[in-house]
Amino acid sequence: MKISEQVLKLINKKKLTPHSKWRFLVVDISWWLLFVTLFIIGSLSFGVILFLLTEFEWLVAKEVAGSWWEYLILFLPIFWLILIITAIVLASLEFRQTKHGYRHNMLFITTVIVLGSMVLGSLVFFSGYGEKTDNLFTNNLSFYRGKFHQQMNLWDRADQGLLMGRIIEVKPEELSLVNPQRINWLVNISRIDPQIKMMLMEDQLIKARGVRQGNNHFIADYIIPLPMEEFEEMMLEPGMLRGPLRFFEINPD
Amino acid sequence: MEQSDCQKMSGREIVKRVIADPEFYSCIIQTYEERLRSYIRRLTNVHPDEVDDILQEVFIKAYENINSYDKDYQFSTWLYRIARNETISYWRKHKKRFNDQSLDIGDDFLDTLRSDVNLNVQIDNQLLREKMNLVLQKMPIKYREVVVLYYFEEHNYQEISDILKKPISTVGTLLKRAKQQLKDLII
Repeated sequence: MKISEQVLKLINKKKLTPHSKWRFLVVDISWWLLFVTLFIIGSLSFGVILFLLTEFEWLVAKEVAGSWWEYLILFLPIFWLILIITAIVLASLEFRQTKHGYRHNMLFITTVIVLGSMVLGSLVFFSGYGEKTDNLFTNNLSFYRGKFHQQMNLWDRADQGLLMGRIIEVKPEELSLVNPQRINWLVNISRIDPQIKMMLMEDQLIKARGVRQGNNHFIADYIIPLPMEEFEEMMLEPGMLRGPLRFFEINPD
Repeated sequence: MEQSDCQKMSGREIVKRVIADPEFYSCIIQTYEERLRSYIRRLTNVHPDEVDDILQEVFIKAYENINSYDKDYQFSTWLYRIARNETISYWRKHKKRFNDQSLDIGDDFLDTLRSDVNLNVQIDNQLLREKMNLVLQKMPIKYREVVVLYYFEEHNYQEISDILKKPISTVGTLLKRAKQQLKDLII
């Protein structure tokens, strides 16, 4: 039997029909959607990385880091780096699956995706969505280490003269604060500029540089109040903080 | 319908006709049967009995997926792609069973090869033919398939790129390495 006859016989016997063109269209569109999604994730990651790097306190980190390795760990936004690399690699592979994607070599595809992510990511950063994304993740993912945790890592080092926490009570020459480890500190603020002292209030987050004195005493040379509006969206009600400061309410005494 | 009529039709017209009239598909099969048969045999050294099995699968697959045909390619290129995929898949499953079928290497191919790989040694065609058969059988599939498509099936780089779904630059690199391998193994 000729092969044409065999094939037609099989087609009739098994009642084979051509697959609908919509099936192929859906597959094509799916590949493109996946590619675009990965591209957006990569761009968003770049935007957040830019935000975190521009907010990072490089000089403070250089002071406190004991080694280059520790310095790297302090500033590298590991979560976003892993995400952006994964997104770019997957996007490159996805692009090759599109109808004509195979016509371009991987190096070219990856380069275009990287440059495109950088352009779109820069827009994300400059429009403020880098910061918004960081806040969103900080508020909703307990494992996430964004800007706030970067600051915490740097400033929660009393032995090295750096302290960070939430003010519990303010007096003329001293204040009480609780740090991220829920330890109460008594901070002498007699050396602080009066104009800064006036800004200090209960529930405010501050960073202080100075000298540790004894167990839970600290003499501050200067204090940086953290802008309250940064944390407004994290306020549940006056006096209570959620999100990155959730640890303050964990396991109440 | 005459085979020549099928060959004159564009890919789009073929797809429309096949969907409207499945019996028309026999014209397509008759038009491309011999070309694909020799391609499959050259690609993997499959036993002649098994070539028809693969060929049947190729045409069934092509029929079922005819709506995926892209007018940017020639219809033959699209068929070759299906044939290539089916053949490689079959070959990977049944590698160990393949025997030493020799390829039909003509004098034209040998002359082209001599100039392409700058084969400066004096070697007669019969000996060269035998060596070529051995070399091609041993050659990794990624090089063999470009050699077969370029020298035996006489496709150009763009067509090979569309069949193998690889960039043209990669096709060029593979062919260059294949020619070097041929030269090294022959000399």
